[in-house]
Amino acid sequence: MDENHVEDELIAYLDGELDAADRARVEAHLARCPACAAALEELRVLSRDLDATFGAAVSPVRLSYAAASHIRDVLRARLERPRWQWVFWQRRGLVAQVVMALLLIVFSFNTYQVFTLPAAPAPQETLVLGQDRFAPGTEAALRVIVRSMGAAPVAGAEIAVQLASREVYKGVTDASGSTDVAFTVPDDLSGAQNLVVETRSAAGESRIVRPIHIERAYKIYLAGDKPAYRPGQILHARALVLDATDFKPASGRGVVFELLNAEGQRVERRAVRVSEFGVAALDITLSGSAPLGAYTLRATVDDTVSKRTITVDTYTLPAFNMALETARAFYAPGDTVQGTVEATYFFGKPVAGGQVTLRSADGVLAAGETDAQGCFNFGFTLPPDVPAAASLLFEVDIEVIDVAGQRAGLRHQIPVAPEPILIKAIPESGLLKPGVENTVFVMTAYPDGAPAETTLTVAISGREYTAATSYGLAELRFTPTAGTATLDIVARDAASAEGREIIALRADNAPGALLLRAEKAAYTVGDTLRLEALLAGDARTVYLDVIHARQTAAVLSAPVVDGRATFALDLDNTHVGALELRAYTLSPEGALTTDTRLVVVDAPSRVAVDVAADRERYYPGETARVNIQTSRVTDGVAAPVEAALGIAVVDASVYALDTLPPGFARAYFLLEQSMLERRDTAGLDVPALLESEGEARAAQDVAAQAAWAGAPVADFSLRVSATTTPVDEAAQARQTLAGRLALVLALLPLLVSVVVARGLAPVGVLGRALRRLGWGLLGAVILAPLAVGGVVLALLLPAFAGVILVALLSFVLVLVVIVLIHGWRRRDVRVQLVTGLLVVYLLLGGLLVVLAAQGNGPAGWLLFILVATFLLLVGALVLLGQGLIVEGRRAVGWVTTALAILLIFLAVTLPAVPALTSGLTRALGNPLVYAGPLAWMSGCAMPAPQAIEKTVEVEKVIEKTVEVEIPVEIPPTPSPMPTAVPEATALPIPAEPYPLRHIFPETLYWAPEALTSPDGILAFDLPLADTITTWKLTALASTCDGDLGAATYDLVVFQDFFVELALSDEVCAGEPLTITATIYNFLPEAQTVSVLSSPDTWYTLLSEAEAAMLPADGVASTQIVICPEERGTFLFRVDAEGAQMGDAVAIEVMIP
Amino acid sequence: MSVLALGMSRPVEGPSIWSALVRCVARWLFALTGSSRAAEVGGVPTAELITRFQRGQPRAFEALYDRYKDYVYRVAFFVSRNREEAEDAVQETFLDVLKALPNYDVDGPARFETWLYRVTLNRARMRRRRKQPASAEWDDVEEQLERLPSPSSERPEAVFLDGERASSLWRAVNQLPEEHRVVVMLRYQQDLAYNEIAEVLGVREGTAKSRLYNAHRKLQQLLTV
Repeated sequence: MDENHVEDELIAYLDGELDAADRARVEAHLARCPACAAALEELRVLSRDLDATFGAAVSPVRLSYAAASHIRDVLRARLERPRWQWVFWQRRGLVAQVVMALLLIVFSFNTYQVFTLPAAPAPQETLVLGQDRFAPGTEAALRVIVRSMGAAPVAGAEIAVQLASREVYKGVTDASGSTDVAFTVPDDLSGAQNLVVETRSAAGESRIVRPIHIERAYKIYLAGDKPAYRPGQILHARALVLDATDFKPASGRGVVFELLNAEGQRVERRAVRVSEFGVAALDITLSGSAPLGAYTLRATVDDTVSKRTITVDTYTLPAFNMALETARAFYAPGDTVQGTVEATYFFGKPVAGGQVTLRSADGVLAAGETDAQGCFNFGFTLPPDVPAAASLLFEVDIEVIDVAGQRAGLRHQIPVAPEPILIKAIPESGLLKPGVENTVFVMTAYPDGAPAETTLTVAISGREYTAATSYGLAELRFTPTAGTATLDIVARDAASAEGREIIALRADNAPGALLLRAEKAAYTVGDTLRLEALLAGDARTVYLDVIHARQTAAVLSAPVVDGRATFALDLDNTHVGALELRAYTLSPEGALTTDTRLVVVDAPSRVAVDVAADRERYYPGETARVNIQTSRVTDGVAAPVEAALGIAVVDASVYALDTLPPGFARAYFLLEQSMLERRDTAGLDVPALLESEGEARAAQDVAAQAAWAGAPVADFSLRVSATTTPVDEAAQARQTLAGRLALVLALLPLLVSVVVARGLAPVGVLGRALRRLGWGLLGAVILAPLAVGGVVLALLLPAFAGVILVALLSFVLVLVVIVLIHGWRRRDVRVQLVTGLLVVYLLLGGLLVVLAAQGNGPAGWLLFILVATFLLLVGALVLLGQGLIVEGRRAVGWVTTALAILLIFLAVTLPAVPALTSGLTRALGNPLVYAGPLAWMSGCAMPAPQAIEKTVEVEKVIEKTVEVEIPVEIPPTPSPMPTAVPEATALPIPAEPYPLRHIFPETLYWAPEALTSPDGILAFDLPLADTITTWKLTALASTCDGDLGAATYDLVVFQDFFVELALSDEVCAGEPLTITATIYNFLPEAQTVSVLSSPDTWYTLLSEAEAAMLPADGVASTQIVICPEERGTFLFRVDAEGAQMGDAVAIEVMIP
Repeated sequence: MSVLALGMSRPVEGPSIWSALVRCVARWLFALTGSSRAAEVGGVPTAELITRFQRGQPRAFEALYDRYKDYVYRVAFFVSRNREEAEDAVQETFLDVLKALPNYDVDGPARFETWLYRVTLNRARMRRRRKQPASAEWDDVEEQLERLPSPSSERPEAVFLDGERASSLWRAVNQLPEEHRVVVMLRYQQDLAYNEIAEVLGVREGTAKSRLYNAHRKLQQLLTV
């Protein structure tokens, strides 16, 4: 058929380029079609001619030799490379891929390591509890507890403690997370120093630095010879200074004595050095015009101050002693009080015939006369209307005027109580501790304070308990609940007197109450102190601090078993004195629950002082020979010991002005201030507590527990905690990894771009590809809003975000695989490299996204670079794709381009997945980034950089040491045999028929530091003055080792007949002055006594004394009136003569 | 000289004594480990040469160069009609080949020649944009064709061709549009098969076929005029 001409296939037919079917068809057609056959012939000719023409034209054409050589040289130059370089270069694609694979493997190991790093341990807390005072050379202790923030104890933490840069302790915490830091404070340290506690554990290190004070604590027992002085007298002060920790004398230290007058002005200040026995003494002369009032005598050693109040007054010594006794110790309102007033002269004789008056605020209660024994019995009725609220003290003033007209007064208080029995209850801990068995001390006493033996019925929250008091104390045991417990107590004594009291006791509100109980209140060295702590809470360990002399001497800890923890401490010499036992538990929040007990540990030995005089009675002016023997008593065995004695011999009438018993000194040193203040409550008698035995001691012990129950105690003076937040290595490692990843990811696209550019350029494709890319970008910018809008809409459904992400990832992976395979098959190095780099980029990028989601992402400039390079990567991929298209490899070219665009979608989808949200994904996925130049110029939001927290707290205070003022020295060296200190005038005394008595000191003898012989013997002559009285000798003994003892002794000076002179109050020159002469006749016969005054120049006699008639054992007085003419101090003498005896007396008269 | 006018990149210089020393040693080692002599141009198949080259024998490349340099030159010369341009194109072509040859798939579907001519064509075409005029050598070709002897019994193949016919054919071919001209050159000068022509040009075989057909028709038209 003609329409199927095969003209266009003829040349192919001629060239044999048709397949069999076509050839057959053409031949068939040619057979039929003459036109085509003709055309074929023409074509054949043409083809033949062309062949020949080309052959002829081309064969001579060849590269000129010069050009060929030159080109050869060029090529050779390129070929001339070392072989390994050549191989590498040939195989560069493979080499690059191998290197990438190796890097990836190494990287995955590193990544695996980073992700399997253990999580940082929880932050830890180190607690240090103790006191901030340490005495050098003593045993000290601290409690150090290490626990993690979840309150789990940290065992095995290394603790090192340094004191003033010296290591004093090194140890490891136990299973409860704490360690008993016990060390000896170095001897040579003093002042403000630093205490350093270093903790090292798996969580890290912490260092606590705290200023503490190293100084000795002292106790100063300050005593004077008298409690009251007159202006012009000498104040004898004595301080016994012992170290508070070991009771050794504080020899060599300086004591500053100060005397402040009633207005607080300093009258005297002097520094004295303490002797080897711990004694420092000072005599202060009060000025004659010293203002009257309450003075304060102060002794200071370093920080320790001891005070004594002294009255300066123009007092008159009482002429005789008075005492009042009532039949009953206490009365109820309206009762009749019956009693006796007894008056005795100080030299021992009764005041007979004295006028007695008893007065109350309402008036005279009773009046009468003392009998020959000096007693007066009285009775009066109490007013009926004493308010029934509390017990009252009914004051009675008693005045006695003796025959001679001398007066003395006494104030007595009679307890008047509506209730016959007073009841007090005190919990053993001060407050009730709910949830554990508490002991409540119930004290029953009569209104005068005497303990009452009663049977008790106690009702608490509906339950009834019965108990019986012993020595006035009963112990009640019950378990209180939180809140207030009300005790309804009824006490009945043997005489059916009854008292009833409703007492509300408060309970401790703190959660997890802790109750510490000691077996006893008083111990001796060598005992084992056993303590029991009861808890209501769920703490597992109870800690115990043993505080001695304000320093933590030991720390103990015990596990809690069934709500109980027990402690045992063997008491040795370092524990002598008061011990504050503080038990505490630590709650997970760091709150301390404490309970404290006060106990006293008696010194193992004390000093027994035996005083003896050679006679029972002396005449005035005689010398007594006093013998004192000191011996150390240990466990009942006495051995003579050398001691220093503070001896005072004072007129007994002075003591009527009230003073402390010398036996108080020992208690003063052993007990703490808060215990001393309560020494008279609950029937406690401290000397009895320490020295009695058996039942009496047991009773005193209970009394001590009751007395000291709830005594205020100080808190921890050293309490510090430091926190270690461990460096989170895992987080750091991840951060480092993220940083490295980010850098690598920033570099990869650059590599890709370089590969693409250099791969496309030689083939001549780069330019065209770039052009196509440019057009594509323009199109993308125009279309961007649509695409972005679509994506954003899709992402508004976050539920789909995950699905979309997974889908995109799969697409991307599939395309990558396709391109990769193509590259392998076609041996196209560029494609291989780019795809390999892209795979690496995707892997690392994924890892970085995961890290960023955990908070370790890049920030700031790095993030910006990452986003920019991502864009570069996408652009390079598109470029490569277009380049491949231009080269003719359209399929793979479009696949690559599609891959690049999918990457954009992938990036935009990332932030929609909640698990992957981070600054990185938000920046990458910000659609504006891909919306073109406009968006770039307006700036995409950059996330704020993240901060990593890593704090380690350190306490840091360094103080300079403070110099302690060394007082000026005035060393008194007491001689072994001190002499008496008479307060006598220096006026000459003429010889007389009767010895003139004119020396009437109030303090006869004062020896602040009289040393015994090494055998403990001190014998001395005591010249007795002229006073007819009883001299009270008190001796306080202390040894070098700090043992103490005291004793008193009475020395009676008497003669059967004597005169005493007294001045009336006002002495004025030119004014009449009355001098009363009281004559005492204790001779068995009556006497007529004449009283003569010696004339002297300084006065004129206005009225002579009358002769007095005295019965046996009688007292009379007579007056002499004179008028002083001159000013000054003079002696006024009186001679009294009786038939058998006489007396001559002179007194000092000072006329101002 | 044309070398200077080429403006080509100068040979790579050895940077230092050390690298020269290393190169010396490497070459010596290479020689020791049995380098191949320059293969005879006609003896070793191209595929073998390529393989040898890929395995690290630079001499094989030289052999390739020797073998194909003139063919490449002819293509470049035909396209650019300028000797200098053609020479530069040859150098560039072989440099390209040198760069790409290590990753060339010897067992690939295309023949080495087609790929080679393709690169040559690209390079020649790129150079052609410089619009250099035809060089003297190009005119020489036509002159030479005119001087072809008339058919005589001495040369039986020349019976069909004489100078006049040859030169008029040559002129006609060179009047063809670029596409047809190239395709004719590939068919008659290089004796490539249709699929190879299509490879070189980067078009489908059908396109190559129809181009050839159109080229012939055009030629016939030109010749009858």
